[in-house]
Amino acid sequence: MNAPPRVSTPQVLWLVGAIAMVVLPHAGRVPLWATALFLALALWRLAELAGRATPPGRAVRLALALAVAVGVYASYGQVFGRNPGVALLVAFSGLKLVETHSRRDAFVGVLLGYFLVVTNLLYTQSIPTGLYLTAALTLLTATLAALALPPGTAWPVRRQLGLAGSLLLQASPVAVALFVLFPRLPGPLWALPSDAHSARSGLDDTMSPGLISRLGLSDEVAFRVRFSGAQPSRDELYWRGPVLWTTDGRSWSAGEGGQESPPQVLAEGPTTGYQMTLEPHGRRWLYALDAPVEPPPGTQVRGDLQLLAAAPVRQRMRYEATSATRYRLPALGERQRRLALELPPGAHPDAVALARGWLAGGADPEARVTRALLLFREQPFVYSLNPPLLLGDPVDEFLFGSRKGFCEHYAGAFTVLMRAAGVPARVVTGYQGGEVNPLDGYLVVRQRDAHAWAEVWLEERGWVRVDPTGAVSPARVERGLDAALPEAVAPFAGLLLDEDSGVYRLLHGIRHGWDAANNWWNQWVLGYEQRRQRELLGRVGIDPSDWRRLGTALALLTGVPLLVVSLLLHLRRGRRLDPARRAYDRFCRALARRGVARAPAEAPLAFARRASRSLPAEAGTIESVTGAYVAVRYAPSGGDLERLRLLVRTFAAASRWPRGQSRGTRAGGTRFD
Amino acid sequence: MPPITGTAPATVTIMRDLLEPVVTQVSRIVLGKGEVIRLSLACLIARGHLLIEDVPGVGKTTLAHALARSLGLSFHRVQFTSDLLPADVLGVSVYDRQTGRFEFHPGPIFAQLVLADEVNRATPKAQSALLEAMEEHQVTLEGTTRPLPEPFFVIATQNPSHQVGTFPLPESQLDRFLMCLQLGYPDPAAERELFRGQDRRELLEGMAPCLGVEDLLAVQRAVPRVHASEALLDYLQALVRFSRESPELRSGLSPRAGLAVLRAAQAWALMAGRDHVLPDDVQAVLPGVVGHRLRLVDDSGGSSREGPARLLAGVPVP
Amino acid sequence: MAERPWRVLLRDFFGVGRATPPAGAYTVDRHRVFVLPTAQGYAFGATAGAVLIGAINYANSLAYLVAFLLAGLGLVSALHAHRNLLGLTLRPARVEPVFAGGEALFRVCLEAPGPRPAVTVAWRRADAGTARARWHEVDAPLPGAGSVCVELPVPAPRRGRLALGRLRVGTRYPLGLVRAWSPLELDTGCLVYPRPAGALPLPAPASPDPAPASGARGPAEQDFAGLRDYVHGDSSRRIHWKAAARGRDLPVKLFAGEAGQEVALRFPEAGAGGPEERLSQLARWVLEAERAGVRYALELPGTSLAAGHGEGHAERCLAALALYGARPGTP
Repeated sequence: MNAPPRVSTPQVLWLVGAIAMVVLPHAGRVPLWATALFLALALWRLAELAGRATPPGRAVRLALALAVAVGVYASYGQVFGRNPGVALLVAFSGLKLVETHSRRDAFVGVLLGYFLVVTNLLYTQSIPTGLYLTAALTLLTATLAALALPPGTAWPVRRQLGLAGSLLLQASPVAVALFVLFPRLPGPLWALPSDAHSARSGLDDTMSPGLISRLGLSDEVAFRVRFSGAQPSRDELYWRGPVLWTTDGRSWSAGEGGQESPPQVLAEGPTTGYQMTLEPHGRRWLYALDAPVEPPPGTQVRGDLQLLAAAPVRQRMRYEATSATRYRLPALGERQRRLALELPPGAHPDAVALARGWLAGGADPEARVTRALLLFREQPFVYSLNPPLLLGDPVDEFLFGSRKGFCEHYAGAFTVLMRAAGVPARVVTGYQGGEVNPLDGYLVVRQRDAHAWAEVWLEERGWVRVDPTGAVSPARVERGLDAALPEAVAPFAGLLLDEDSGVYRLLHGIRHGWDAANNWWNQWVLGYEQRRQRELLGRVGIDPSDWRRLGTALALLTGVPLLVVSLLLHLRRGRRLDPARRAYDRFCRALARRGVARAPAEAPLAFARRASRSLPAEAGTIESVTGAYVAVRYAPSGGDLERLRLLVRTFAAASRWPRGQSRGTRAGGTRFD
Repeated sequence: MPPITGTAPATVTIMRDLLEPVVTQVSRIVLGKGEVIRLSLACLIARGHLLIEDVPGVGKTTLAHALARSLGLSFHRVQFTSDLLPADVLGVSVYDRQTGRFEFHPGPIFAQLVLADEVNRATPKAQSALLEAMEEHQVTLEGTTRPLPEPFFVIATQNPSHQVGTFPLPESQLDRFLMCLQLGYPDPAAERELFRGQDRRELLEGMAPCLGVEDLLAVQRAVPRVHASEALLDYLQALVRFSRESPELRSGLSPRAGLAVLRAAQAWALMAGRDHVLPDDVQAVLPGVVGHRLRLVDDSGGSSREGPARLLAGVPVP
Repeated sequence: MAERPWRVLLRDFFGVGRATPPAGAYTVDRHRVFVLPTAQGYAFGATAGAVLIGAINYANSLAYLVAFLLAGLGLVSALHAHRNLLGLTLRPARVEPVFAGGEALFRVCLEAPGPRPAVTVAWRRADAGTARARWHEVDAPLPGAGSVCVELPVPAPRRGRLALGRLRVGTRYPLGLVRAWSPLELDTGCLVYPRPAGALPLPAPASPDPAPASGARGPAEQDFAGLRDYVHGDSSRRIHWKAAARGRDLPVKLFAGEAGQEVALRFPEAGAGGPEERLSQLARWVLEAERAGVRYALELPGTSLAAGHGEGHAERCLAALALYGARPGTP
């Protein structure tokens, strides 16, 4: 009441452990000095506990706090924002530990810990993170429980954790109900700090040799697709990303291309509807199956069919679209033709000369395309993730020298050849293929599926997709990177596994399972935003804007689990009673209904005598029940509990409808429960 | 008769059948006091001593005498007066001229059943001589320890203490008696029969023992073996705890008092022919066992039935 | 302490918190348990709110989940706190009488069919130097089924019967975020004897047989009856030196004849002050007479106690003094 009670040694240990657990994942995110400071302060607190150190004075703490602020400013140039904020929190939580001497301090420390849990979620929300932070929450809650124990008491670690775990478990139905029903608001409440989202891996808006092959080893998921109808065959799964028009001789970029209004897509076959779940990649473009016929609402379609979102994709994003894989794109404006034929002056002299030769040979455009593809197929070109470094003119050196390259080399060189040969051409980057997860049916497209191909414009057919990589390595297109480049299968590379071997299938199965779990997590937990909430609630007939129904559902869904918890708590109390005693109590209640109530202090035989005098007709039953009860409860040999239960059941059933007893006498009895 | 061992149900029945005639026989002499007679017998077989507190003339002496007769025990009576010396109770060594040695003349305490009449009339010194012998089952005089006979049973009587010229037994000494009972006046029917019937003394003369000493010792050995279940011990502990915590009671029951209740209840169960103790047994013996050990906060002195009654009413049977 | 309006409202319109008649034992039932957040609980709620705002701002699903989990934790801990009190039985235990000006040590025993960790009992007492009573709290944890007793000291300024007043049995189990409590009043009181005071000497014994204190028949010839401790004023001739040499501190011989000595402690003779001063003087006399080993009788207007001696007699006399003038019939 007056001075807040001091923390005990176990309480400090709980707190230090819990805070260390939530700070640990930040170690790689904050400057080294912040982590070091936290560790030093935590050790200081532990040393103080062991009697080897004295707590820092007020002046020292103040100086440290100032130093932390200065340090954060020096490291980040600001003190606001996600990263500086986390660095501050980490350092301050260390300071909190050394100044924790009262229970109130420790309590504030626990609240800080809960907050640190959430800061972790700003960086990653993966399943392992979720599990780790659940453990951290348990530890923090156990600390809270340890702080609530009366002074001088401490529970064993396991009991303390057990209590915290069961509390969290009991709280989780309520949490889930609130999670599902609490109205989700769109967008941030205020401007997010500029560093709220760090750069993600994925395709760039430029392409130069080595940029895409860099992704070849990444198993990270780029996006997941669920087809509403049949899935197109694998060699039609070209996921269009940035379309590149301009080259400086080494790298390709979008340049000024594609600024026209969207072209008309004439589907020449069935269209495919699908839902994309795009991982955040920090860029504005969206991916779509080859030629989007119906783009997702709210997106801009550029003249080269590239989709642009309103803002960079910083959250996992879900959208639906319909695409055609066989189509015609007839239109070609004058500006587009000019851009699609432009080459940097003086670059790739050998390649240009070769292509000019085809043009001079009088072949029609389609034949020129074929000539170029034949070149790749007939010359000893090799498809490789690790092409040699090209130091001179990259196209010429590749075409006539190394002849070893990844898709970007082929797409780039091919486009250069086409332009030199007078065929309008452009580079398309994106992804090709993907892998169907048999567990949930989603097609998973990973970074290693990144690809580049070309499109040429032919007078009669419009824009036509040409994949020069397919000419060199048909397996890449038909079966994916793993089949085309066995050395690219990083995890299994050393094992040289046969695709049919058991280990391979097992590992593959684990990967599929893990992936499906992740996808479920993404779709239903992380991706549960306003739209998904509407969709889900709509399915059960609740309009999220109807506050009254939402409130009722919320009350029901949170109230029922709480009711169950409280019932369980009460049942646990009842379970402690001796079974014979429970049966006997039931017997006594039955007698009480007949007007003879046992006083709490009345011994069994005495009660039996009294009851028999009042109910002479039941004397026999009373005697046998009492005898059975007494034998079970007090006799050395135990007695027959089942018989007692049977007798009591029979008697209780019979006295529920007492024969010939008036209400008046029954009401006269007092109940002792 | 085969030696009696253990507390198998059959043995227990045999013991009840041994004890039942004693109760019947004594009841013919001390009329209308079945309950007190049973309790006295229970006290005896639980190897405890008995204090009877009542006004003169209600039959205290007769009860003691009748019990001794029925059980075939040697019997002595000591009338306690203010000039009684310890030696008058314990015995004295007298120099024998012929043998030239001191010879011990045992006092009246050397009997299997000793009736200490009006124990509160004697000085504390004489009282403590008796009480020490009761406690230790032996007498130490002039450096020599002499054992008392087996079984050894003291029935002390005491007049209500507020009479002039008495030394009421201190509380610590009262604790040495397993039970303290009141005889009370007989009910009218019993009293009438008393008037009508034969002289009690004559009846006593005509009584024959119904039990051998060996049997009695066997019964005494069987008492602690009567089963007390966990549930019963719970009840006993609840009673003891209640006595210590209740604001109405002045002093709680000691562990020795708790054990006394258990032994008496075991004896009571044995007399009922049961091999296990029930809460009923505890309730039957409790007033006798704890009445003189409990004091109410607002009592007017002396032992009372009020304390045990509150104890019994306040503790639920688990 | 002025009652808060909402309390009055709750009590008068909903029957919540209405004082139950004092009882010998009180078992907490679910209708009389109140649950409110503690200061820590509000801080915890604020943290959950801050997390929720962060979750909305960053559209972070797991942060939402953490916020809701914290909310759930608060609700569940309220259930546990409620449950932690149910079935708890409080029983008053024996209270030793005290003299006025001392401190009555009330004892309350808690009993439960199962473990009840972190239970507290709060009672009101005035602190030293202040007249206002404040709530104090003592821990009474029940780690397993069984009972535990707590001591609640209350100053006893005046003689008479001191009541313990209202109690609250409460708990902050399991997380300290909510406090469940149940108000109750137990039927227990502490007898407060008058403060022994006054300077008058013990009245002279009015012995029925006029035996001279010293004279022809010296103490040595009387019957030796026992020993008692030395009291200031005892003759050195009566000290039992042999026993003193054996280690007892100055035992004084008592003789049988002295048992007959009696003093009467009478209200009118206890000084000229007001009734309270006289009662104080009488209390002092009782203690002195008890120490001196003299039989004494007490005579108060309306009550008198026959001569006696011993602890029990002293207690009865002091109780009569404590309750003098109290309404008859009060226990």
